[in-house]
Amino acid sequence: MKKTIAIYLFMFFLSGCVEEFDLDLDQAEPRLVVEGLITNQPGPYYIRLTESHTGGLIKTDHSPTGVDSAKAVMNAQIIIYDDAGQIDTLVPIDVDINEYDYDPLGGYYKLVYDNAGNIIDTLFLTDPSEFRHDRGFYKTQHFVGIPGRTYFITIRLKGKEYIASDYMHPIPDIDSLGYMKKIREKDGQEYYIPLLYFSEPQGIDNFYLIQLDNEVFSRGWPAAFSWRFSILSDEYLQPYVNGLNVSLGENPGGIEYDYYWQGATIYLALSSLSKNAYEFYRSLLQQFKNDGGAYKPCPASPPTNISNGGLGYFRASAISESEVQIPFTFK
Amino acid sequence: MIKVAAITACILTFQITVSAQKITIFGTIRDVENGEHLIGATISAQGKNLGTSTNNYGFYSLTIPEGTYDISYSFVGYRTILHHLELSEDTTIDIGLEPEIKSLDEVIVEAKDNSSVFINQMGIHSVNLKTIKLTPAAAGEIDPVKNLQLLPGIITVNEGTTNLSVRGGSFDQNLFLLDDAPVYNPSHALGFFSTFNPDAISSVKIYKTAFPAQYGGRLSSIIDIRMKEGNNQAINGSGGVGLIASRLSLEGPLKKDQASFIICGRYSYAGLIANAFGLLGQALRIGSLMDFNANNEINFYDLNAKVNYKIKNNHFYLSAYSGHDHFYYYSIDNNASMEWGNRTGTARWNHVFNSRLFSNTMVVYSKYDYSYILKDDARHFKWSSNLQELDIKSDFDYFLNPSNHLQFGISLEKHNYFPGKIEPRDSTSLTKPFDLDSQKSIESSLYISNTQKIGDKLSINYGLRYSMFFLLGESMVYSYSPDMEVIDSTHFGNGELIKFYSGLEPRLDLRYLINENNSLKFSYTYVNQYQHLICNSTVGLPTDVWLPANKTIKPQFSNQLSAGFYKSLPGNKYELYTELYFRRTGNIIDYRDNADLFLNPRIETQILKGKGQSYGAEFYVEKKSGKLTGWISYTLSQTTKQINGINNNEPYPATYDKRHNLSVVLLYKLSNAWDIGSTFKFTSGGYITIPEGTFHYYGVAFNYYTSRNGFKLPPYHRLDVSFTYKNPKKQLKPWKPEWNFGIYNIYDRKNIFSLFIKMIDVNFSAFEAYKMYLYGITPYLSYNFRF
Repeated sequence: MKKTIAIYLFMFFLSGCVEEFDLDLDQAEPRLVVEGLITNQPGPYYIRLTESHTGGLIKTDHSPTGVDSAKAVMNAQIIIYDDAGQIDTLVPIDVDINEYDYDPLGGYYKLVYDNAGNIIDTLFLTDPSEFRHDRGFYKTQHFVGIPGRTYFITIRLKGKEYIASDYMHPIPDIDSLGYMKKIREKDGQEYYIPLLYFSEPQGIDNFYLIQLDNEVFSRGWPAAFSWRFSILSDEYLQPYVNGLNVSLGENPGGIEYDYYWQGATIYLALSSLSKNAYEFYRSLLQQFKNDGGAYKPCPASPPTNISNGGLGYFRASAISESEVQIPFTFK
Repeated sequence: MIKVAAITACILTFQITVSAQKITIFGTIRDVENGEHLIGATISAQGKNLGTSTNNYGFYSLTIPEGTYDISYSFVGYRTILHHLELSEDTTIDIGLEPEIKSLDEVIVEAKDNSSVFINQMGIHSVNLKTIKLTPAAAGEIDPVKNLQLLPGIITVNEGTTNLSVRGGSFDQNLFLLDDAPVYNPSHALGFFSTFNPDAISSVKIYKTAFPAQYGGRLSSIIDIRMKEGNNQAINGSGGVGLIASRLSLEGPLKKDQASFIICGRYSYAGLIANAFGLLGQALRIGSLMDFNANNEINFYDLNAKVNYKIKNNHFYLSAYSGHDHFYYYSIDNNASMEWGNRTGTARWNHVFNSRLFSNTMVVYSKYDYSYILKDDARHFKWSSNLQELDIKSDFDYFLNPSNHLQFGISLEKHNYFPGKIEPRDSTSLTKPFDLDSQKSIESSLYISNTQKIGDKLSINYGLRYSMFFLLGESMVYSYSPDMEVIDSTHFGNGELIKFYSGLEPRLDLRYLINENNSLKFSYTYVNQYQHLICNSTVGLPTDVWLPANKTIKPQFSNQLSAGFYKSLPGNKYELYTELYFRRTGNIIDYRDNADLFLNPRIETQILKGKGQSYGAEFYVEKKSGKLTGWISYTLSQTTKQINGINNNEPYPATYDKRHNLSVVLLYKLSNAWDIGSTFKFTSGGYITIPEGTFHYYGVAFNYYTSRNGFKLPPYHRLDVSFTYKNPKKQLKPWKPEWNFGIYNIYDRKNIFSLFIKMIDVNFSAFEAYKMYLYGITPYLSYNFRF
């Protein structure tokens, strides 16, 4: 930046200047971060454990693939159970992709043997692009998520125990997905936005998570493409949600995703959230907007349901999905 | 120079009731040139230690034994008048004082009565409006409120803004009164300027403690601003052309000595100037301005008008203020524009019943409205909100005898709050129209106080204020469980009483004169505040919401103890004091972590209440006369809050907890044409909340925080200089020009206005911290005139 007296003459008002500030952060003890999800769709379900980053802001992302640089925690013992007596011990996904066998019909798989040489499990790699082997993922072996139950997790790590629970609210079916044509103000471009139709269950407070990508995509692709979450509270919804203009999620970079073109297929997943999970997502979304500056509210940690100083969230959600294709129209 | 004072002292015989051997002199004191009343001018019988001062309306009354006196009338910045009088009956004496024009070879000795050693109150300051015109100002805009920030115990909450923290209070605890009408948002252009046009103002007084019993309703300070009354001698005007705003005012008699008017306007074109300079910067290819967006819209106006009419023992005043802001600035929020404005009106009737009883009755109106327009967003809405206040007040001054001055009165205030309404701006907007319930409250108070002199040395002012607060329907009221879940709701009909609060507010201040040059003072102040400002940011935005106390959010209160030592050096050239204060507040609010404040119908669920504590030591030295004048002010203070649910229930510093606060203001009269002013300011850094660490969730990095306001910012300091040029020859002509130029922040210190953390990489896992500063070294120029 060129700095001359002349500039300041011009910038006497507000334009001031912005420059980098060397912020010293205390070297605090890293904390356990949980990304957990149990759904009503077929398992396995994945839990990811990582360590938080302390001692300074993350200045560069080291991963060339675009996946995050979070430090994986691979030596934890994880148990998931529900209030109906179901219990499962999770296994870490600690095999390298090169250790997998390949079968043209079954894809990548690995057989897990016990000490006696018996096959006790078959690990399938559902999406090779996920590189889950060293990223702190654990998966369930036989657990089944059913709406209306409360789910519990217990994590034992280095002599500490972390617990969390979440209730899986039922989810109404999506009646249909629609779309609406809009014209972008700045360049007159036509684009389409999705419209959502469903019957909102009355008599209880419902909270929803809306995703425009499926879970595998959200997990596997760099956040720049895949972080498309938005949340919805039924506080102001009508009993029949008749073509809700879905606010297409909050994106940390403010990159425009709010359009679909002709021929595109809109995918939408509507997930049920507990109130706590809703508050967690609301806080995440708020962080994108709140830089902690003088014009913003005081920033705060996203609330968590993990005990003992853990971070992140263990979520139980029922999901309903729908797709619609926007046809080509020729003038 | 003409040394003969043009004194218009009319002495009339008014009443012949010779009571024992005591007589009363009473009347008003004015500026002889323009007829303005002087507030706080002193009247004293020389050598007798008998004296008084004019009240807020320029009225005084002094009861003394019959006899022969040298009565002096004096006021800061005016020539003292001495009258040799033989007094044997009650007498009206109206006095006109002549402004003193300092010339180089003249040494003016201030009358000792004006010294703060003698003044009863502590923690009080009057801004000398003549002095502030000579001090440096950001962008050349003289601002009486910003000048308060150079006084002890008063901290700038955010650099560049008009937000004040007085003795550890938050900025919603200051009561700005413009001709007795409260101004809810005293800021223009997001606080870069105050709503008070210096051309329209005759006095600015701040009470930091020992509030007179007539004042209440805000915890930290009362800032009493009076509009000029208008010259009742001759028509004249003044104005100025500045870089970002221009002003024009006109005043004059409607009927000489009886009725006068003043009208002042100010308009700011700051956005246009910013755009023009931005574009110019782009044309010159100045790097930092290359991505400048020239669609900024920043403008505001102020209009002040006042008329007064005097007939016999009655004086009528009508004053009005209207101001409005339109604000859109891309680098602050490129998605939303804001509008806000204040309107106030005051109708006042002063009546002199007799030589000892004076009354002031008024009807006051204030309206504050604000709106927020979301532009380029699927939600596309306009949010508007306002609040209105209508008050009736009556105050009486009764000068019982030379030792007792009684003041009593009553007030009734009606407040209407419309906390928010959302309207979609077009048919594709996602937003549904939505109204928050309006709220109504009535505040009523009674007060009585007495200023009593006991012997020659001791003077005590003791008072009691009783305030009552009624929150009225129509409204839906929720009850909450301890974890703030709604457990019940009740509907209250229109006018139905929802909640009643009341409180006795004792006030005490005491002055003990050790000798002519030294005094000790002590005060205790208790105040209730029935309004809360729900504030969304540290700097304060027009979108902050004022709310009355309700069932869940109780009224806030403050207890303050102060003690001080005052000294004037012989000749009264120097004056110094030190004051210590200790202040505790209760039911103060802060928002919980991750609060959802925007248009929340149950906003009380997002707020936590607790207590605050502040203590400090203030030091002040002023040189009052000579070529070089000015002051040094230093405050050492600490302010903490403790609110359960925030910061693990541990006390935490307020954002404006700035340990050291130093101001040096020096004014030097170089010649009859040139004045030089200089300001130096140093304050410790305030506190902000910064992350302890970062965690990843679905590939995106998020920050987590452990302590609220845990990070101390670097200190703030700045040096400014200003030059004022008045051609002495032209000052005798009808058109009197004046040039003012200066340099703000002369050594180019980049003081932090805002520190923020931004995500910097495309995959949302890297951050950078940035600081924003408002002013580098900034020259300015303005042209002012009088005619």
